[in-house]
Amino acid sequence: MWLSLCRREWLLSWRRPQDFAQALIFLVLVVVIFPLATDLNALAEPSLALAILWNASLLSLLLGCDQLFNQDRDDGYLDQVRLGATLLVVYVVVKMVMQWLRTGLPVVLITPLVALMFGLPAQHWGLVMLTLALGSLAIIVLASLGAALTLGLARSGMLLALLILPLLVPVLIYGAGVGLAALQARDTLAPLAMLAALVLFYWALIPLAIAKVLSLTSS
Amino acid sequence: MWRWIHKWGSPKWFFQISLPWSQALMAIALVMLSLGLVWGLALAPADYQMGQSFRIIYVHVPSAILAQSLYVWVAILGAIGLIWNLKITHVLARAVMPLGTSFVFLALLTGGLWGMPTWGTYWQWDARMTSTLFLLFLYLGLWALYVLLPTAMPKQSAYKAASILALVGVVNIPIIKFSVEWWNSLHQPATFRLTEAPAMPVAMWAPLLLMVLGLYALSGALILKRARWILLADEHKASWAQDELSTLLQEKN
Amino acid sequence: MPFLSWAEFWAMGGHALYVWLSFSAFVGVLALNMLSPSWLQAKLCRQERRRRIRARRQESSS
Repeated sequence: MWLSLCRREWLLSWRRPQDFAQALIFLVLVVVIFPLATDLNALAEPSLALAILWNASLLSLLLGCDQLFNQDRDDGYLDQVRLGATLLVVYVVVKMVMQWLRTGLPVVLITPLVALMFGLPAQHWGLVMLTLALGSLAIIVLASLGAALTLGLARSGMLLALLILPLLVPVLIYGAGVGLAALQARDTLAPLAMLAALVLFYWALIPLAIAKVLSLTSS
Repeated sequence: MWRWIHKWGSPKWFFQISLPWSQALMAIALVMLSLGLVWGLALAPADYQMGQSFRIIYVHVPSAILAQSLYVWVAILGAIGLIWNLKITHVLARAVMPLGTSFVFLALLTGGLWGMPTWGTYWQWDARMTSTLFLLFLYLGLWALYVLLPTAMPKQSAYKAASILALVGVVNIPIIKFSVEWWNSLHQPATFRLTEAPAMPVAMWAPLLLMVLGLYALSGALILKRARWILLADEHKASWAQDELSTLLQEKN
Repeated sequence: MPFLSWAEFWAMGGHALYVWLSFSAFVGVLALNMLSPSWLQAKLCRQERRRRIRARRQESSS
């Protein structure tokens, strides 16, 4: 069951490369317009790099999930899943994993480029990429909840952001906090552990909530 | 016991019983709040360090407490509504939203006004203020969901979906607080403790208690009052509702 | 008694603006919340009255 779902998602993603490209381009664009609004001296500040990277990634991933379930609802696939033998939760998890491969992974991979632009020391790149990998997992699961909640509404992007951004505060604080701790030569294990715990917690429980919401909002 | 729970499934019963209850709670609330306000404003001693601005505690802390409490109540109502399918829970949850949002707003406003004479600034990125700010966003998002979702899908499904968000939100509130406190402890020394006045004399915390309890009573009264009209509007086609409306329209003429 | 005169009470030790603004905002916002259910009731009655007039009109014309 998993496999056929994965295959379908993979094929669909392959035929819509713009999903993947859009998230990436949006991220880079948001990042590069920041220096234009400040002076060049401020750019020497590496902690600024972290803030910009994290916030741009957050927005890019959040907005990228906006229409996550729409196509499947429109072409009737969602109803098929609900009526069929597959558990809705399985469908949700597959969707989210694929979404992460489409949008989260590229964000992680492009981090060194952004880090370079803002003078983030190379020794920290690995750690920052790890936190973004974990953080993006958490962001995607919460953003998917938002997508499910706003499924029937027009212009859902803003509402999704309003609903989900407050819930993402801990992810942001701990995620960026790890990088900040590394820059300031403080303990990085504590926030990293918290981030990992959050990711596990969210992935364990929220897909169930998403499945329930989908059964309500796609009727 | 079962019969009592069964009664909550009857909109007509709720409509009738909510009137005396809200009136009783309102009376209690007005007494407690007037006493509390007078005591807090005029009779309680001022703080040695903060001076008279300390009195803002009597509106700031109760608002903050109620703001958080009411959100938890919305989540509880949502859970009950999801598990037992009681429609009245969604009516009550919708009735809470404006009041809860008002309290967060008041907590932020009075917090800022207290901050100016105390710290010299209206806003401080300390743990408490930041958490309260995000509570405001949680309220606004949930309220938007309760208003917008029913336009796109069957009402009961919409309210259930909103309840799920409330539950996710309520689970996240302690997580948000914890993370904000950690974040704050990195950047600022813990010198600013707004309401941590340990060992307040009775003369200082008694009016605070009165205000908190009075505000709880007022919230109960207002939520019930508001819920009655939401319920009547939802169920206006039912025969009991038509009877009630006839009585109301006659009274007006 | 912390205040020795009315003047002192209003002045609130120099913090008059903050204290009175806070308390009036508190009372004001709560007052709005207390009035709001009545507005809901009025709106509901208005709508119901119009519905009944429309229903009567439809009945008499059919």
